[in-house]
Amino acid sequence: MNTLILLLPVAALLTASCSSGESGFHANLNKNAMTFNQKGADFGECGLVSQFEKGRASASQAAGGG
Amino acid sequence: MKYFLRPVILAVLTPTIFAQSHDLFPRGANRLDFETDGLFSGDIDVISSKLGFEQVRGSWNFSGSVGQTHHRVEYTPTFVTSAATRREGAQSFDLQIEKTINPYLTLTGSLASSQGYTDHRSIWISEYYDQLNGLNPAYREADPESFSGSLGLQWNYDPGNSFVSVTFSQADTVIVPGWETEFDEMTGDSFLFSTNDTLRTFSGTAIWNAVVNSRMRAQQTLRIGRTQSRKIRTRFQSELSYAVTNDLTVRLQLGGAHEDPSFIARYGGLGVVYELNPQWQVSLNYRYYEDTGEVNTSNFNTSAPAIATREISAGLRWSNGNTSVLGSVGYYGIDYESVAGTGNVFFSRLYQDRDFTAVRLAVSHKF
Repeated sequence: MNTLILLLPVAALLTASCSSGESGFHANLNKNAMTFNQKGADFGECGLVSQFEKGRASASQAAGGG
Repeated sequence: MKYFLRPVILAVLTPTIFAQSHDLFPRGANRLDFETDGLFSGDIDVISSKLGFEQVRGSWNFSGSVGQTHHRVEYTPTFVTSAATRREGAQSFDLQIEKTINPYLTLTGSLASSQGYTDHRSIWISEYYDQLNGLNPAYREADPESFSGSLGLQWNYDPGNSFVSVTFSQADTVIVPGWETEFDEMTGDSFLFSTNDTLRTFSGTAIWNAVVNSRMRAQQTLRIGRTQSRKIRTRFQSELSYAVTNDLTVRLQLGGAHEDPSFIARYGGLGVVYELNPQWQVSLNYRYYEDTGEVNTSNFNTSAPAIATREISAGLRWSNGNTSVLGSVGYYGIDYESVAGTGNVFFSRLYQDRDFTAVRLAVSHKF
């Protein structure tokens, strides 16, 4: 069951990633809201929640937690 | 302190080397970011600020930041110890360097360090042991710090659009240890001793970032890491950005983690960004996270129990092209499983449900 839960997001978005879409330039793809490595005024989340959420892949790699 | 000094020295040397016989700030190649995050509840307040700089110089990209975090923790005891207000600060530093070898390959490297208490939990546990053992000559007050470094390679298989990257990193962290007194039945003497306070973590991260079509990007992140004395932890995260219209973008995030013998985490989030006009945009975000509680590897038990959190926030962003300002405010709630009847009942006030107000202010400027 736990493995299934971990694999669900893989199945959902791997399918999308594998589809052969247009890869050329499009204004929508370069908007700050579309990117994943946001920082500064482009990043809208509070960065302090990693104090509590030790299982997030985007959390700090410091070894103290978990 | 030794961990903190190494990257600071490198930070001074690196720009000195590359600035020789060049314009220090080439026009249009620089970016400054200032950001402040805050979490406020009745007994725990955290404010963290960071100033970052990025410069593109030919095939090189340099970026780095310095940060300062302030904590105010109202320590409320369960047994033995007494109430106290603790204020602690932490300093952080990081440096990243990227070298584009050709349009398809990029090398990356990073260094990061911190000095001081970086989370409220460490402060709480430290206060407990300071009060309990402070008069014992065998006791040492905690002095948390960390240092990490990474090396990676990025393959831009569709340059400017899609890439796969692999990064390996090592992190050395000095944490707040647990302390316990043990009695020698033969002599009747007692000894105070602590858990290991220095932990080393090795990890590898693979990222696949792909353009799905002219309105959709997806990113998959797989991180596998191991901290000494523990089992391998595997984390996975899927993200999707979808431009529903030219003004409306929907962002989706799903993820999870697993570590033997008993740690499981799962989370998801949904965000909506709407551009009112070329200058103003509004956003709304919701996230949910839950895990089964920290892995406890020693007889001492300061480990956090199972947790569920939720965050809902709204943001407003203004931009004139070169300068952007973002403000957001939100609610962040945490629910802990009860620690009653467990080995960490001494920290039941630390691991109690809390409601936080989350705020963020950020300014970015390109020049």
